Amino acid sequence: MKTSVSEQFDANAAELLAHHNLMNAVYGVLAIIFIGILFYLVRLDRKISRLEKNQS
Amino acid sequence: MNLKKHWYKWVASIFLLYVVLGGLFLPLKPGITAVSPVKLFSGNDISIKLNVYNAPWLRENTSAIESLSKDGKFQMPAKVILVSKGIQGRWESEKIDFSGNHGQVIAKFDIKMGQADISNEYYSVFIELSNGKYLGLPDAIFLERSLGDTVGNSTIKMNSNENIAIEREKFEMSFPNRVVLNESVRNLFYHVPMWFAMLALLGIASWYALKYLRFSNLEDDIMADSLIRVGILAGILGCITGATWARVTWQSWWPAADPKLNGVAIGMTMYMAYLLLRSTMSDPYQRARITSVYSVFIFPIFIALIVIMPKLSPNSLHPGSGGTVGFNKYDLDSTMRLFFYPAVIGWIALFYWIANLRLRIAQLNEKQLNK
Repeated sequence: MKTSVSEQFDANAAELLAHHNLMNAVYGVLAIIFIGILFYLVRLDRKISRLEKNQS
Repeated sequence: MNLKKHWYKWVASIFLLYVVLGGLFLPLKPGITAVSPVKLFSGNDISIKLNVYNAPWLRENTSAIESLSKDGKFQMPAKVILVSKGIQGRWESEKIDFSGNHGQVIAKFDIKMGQADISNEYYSVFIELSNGKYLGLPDAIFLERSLGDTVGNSTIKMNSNENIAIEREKFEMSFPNRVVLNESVRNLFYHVPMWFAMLALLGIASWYALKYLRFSNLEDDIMADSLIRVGILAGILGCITGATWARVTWQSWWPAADPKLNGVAIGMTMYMAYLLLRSTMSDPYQRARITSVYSVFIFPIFIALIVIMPKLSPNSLHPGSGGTVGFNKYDLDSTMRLFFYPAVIGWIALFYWIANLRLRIAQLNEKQLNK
């Protein structure tokens, strides 16, 4: 059974879109770095609070 | 802020803003991402389908086709060519179809090898564009002579491989489109500098540890400790971002056969042991002396594990190790360089900044304890 050219295009549009997912890996990596640094900053913040409490 | 004293904070802010924005928003060069079928038998009316990413002929890319085509800017697929690597077989498509909505090309071939001396082998696929440029995918199709193929056709040209020497492209602000990596090539600016930052911080920490051993000044020990802790943070982020990237490109969170990953696993454990060692001792001078010796000792081993061993090993998925080339020759083109080097400097500066915050807190803590 032969399909027309346009049908073939449509059938494979999804296949093509799958490659956009790789951009999500970039967003994911940036988010991980952001969250990781934020996590560390919050820990430092807590340490400063403890120091301030001890001082007063 | 005092510019002289805080220069690395400015470097971190400005470079990272540039790297994150540029790394996210610059486009990727067009490239062939998939070919089907991947195995062909010679014959008439063979149809090959090519997926093209960021195809330059899409309607959204070119609003006024006619006006653009005059000055040669508009790039339409003109024909599809198969070129073999060994004994030169070269086949041009009879007819191609493409749509302005999808980056897809369907090419029809008549391939008759006849009596010509062509072996069954891999062919690279090229799309010739209307402005004379090419998009290519190396070794994409395996072409085999079918049994009934005894009469050759005219499209075969022997030894005509030189026609497809990909010319050195003019410089464009866009990232290269690599097979497998595709858009995720941008992670080079985010994942790789984590390791550079870790190495830089651990290196500086070793320097301070040596300084402590020489002058027995506790300030140096606190500095080394802060640098190592933030270095470990960079390493952990490097591991997690690397796993994320590997999942989508190498299809595994942690490809265990990779010597770089094994080396990093051992190296990180050594630095975890540093934290453990430090937490077991309460006398500051004893703690400083022992952990300084330990950190000076493990830094070269860490370098050996994550830089030298993967380079000596026969197989690694990482560029710059095993059989793969480093990012100086083919992997890094000029646009990538424009972002990669600032990224390395920027991330190192940022982590140094964080280490500096950690240092100042530790110093205050020390002062309160001594009161």
